[in-house]
Amino acid sequence: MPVDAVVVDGRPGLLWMQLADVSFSEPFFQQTVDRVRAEHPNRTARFTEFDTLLQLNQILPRVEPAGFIFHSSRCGSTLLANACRCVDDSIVLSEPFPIDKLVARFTTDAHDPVKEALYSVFLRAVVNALAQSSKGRVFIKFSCCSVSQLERISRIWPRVPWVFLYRDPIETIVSNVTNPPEWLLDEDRRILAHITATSTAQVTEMSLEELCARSIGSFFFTAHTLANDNSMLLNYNQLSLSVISNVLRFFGVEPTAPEIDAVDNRRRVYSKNPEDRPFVSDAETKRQNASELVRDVAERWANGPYSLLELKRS
Amino acid sequence: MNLIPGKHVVVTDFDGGEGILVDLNTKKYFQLNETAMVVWKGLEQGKTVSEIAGDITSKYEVALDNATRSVERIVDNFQTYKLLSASWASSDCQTRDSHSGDLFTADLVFRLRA
Repeated sequence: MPVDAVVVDGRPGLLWMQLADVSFSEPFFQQTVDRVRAEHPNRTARFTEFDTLLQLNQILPRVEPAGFIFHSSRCGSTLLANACRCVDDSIVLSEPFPIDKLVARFTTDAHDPVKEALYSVFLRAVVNALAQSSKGRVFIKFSCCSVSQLERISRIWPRVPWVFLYRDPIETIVSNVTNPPEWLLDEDRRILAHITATSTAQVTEMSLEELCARSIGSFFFTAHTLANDNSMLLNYNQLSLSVISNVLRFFGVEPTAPEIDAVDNRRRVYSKNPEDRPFVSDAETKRQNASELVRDVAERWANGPYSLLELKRS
Repeated sequence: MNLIPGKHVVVTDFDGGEGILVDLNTKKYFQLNETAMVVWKGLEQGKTVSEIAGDITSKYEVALDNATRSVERIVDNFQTYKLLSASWASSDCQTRDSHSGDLFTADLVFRLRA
């Protein structure tokens, strides 16, 4: 399976690793890859250029994903991904590097329509290659920055239903600035500049709070604009067992009683580290701990599109 | 002599009729528009230029002579980039594309290298 998209000696391509016998039980794809590397040090990754992917794509059966999960960061998307994992014979590909990096190329090379077409073909083929490891349904959770390419992704898979998860802006910003994720610290500022409709120089000058507020505001706005009959908007504060079961149904799954029990058990633990600690809602704490700056940037950049989303959801 | 797609070329569909070709010898990529894809698929099926032109007239509102000229131009472009082989030849997999730089025509869109 492709485990990363890289450039070797100036040649763009993929790293492949033997993962046929591997369970994707970790919350993130990369965690699974890291575990396999630790358990099987002899399984070295092999590099090929993208033409190998296209050759492989000729002979592999086409697998259509059952559902896509998009999100605005720190809003329950990992919980939803874990719920999808509870469906028998399903796999969840959660923010795999090859997908994430190819989607990012749409942003950095968006000025070139030929590359755009090429990356669309690569992306579809990468997803198909990754999906081969499933005997049943395949769900894909994209990284939050991929929301900026939601329209393009929907064009590649027009029939795949998607969910957009989001959360109160203040709670989201507090969570992100307290423990900044990689996407917010990305040194290649082009992605964030694109998302926030600013320049890389402006991104560099922004406080983390403003950068986060502008980014999630952009995610909200994009999701609001593109939401249609093939999509579902979902607020973090709605994530009850019955709502999660409805999401599974929206993805074409009629969950069995044991699957619903499994989802319920997953809900009760912290989604990104299920073996660590039970889940305790921290929404109120986050709101109380919000600084004036957080409240200000939330109001300025995120609350408006958040309200639009809420209106559309209801 | 019929022209057929070279064995060293992989085609992938995308976006409702368009496609990408990759020449495995040169690692060059070609983006094909909808018409060029119809031509490529026709060649895959062993059709002649006139048969493909006929397919195009049944699919699009275009006169046969215009369609024929378009198909001929597209086939010429494929040949320029050594993407085709003669159907009686055992293989032309070793042919190398000596062309460099971008080519743009209305039908066969240009070389690209990611």
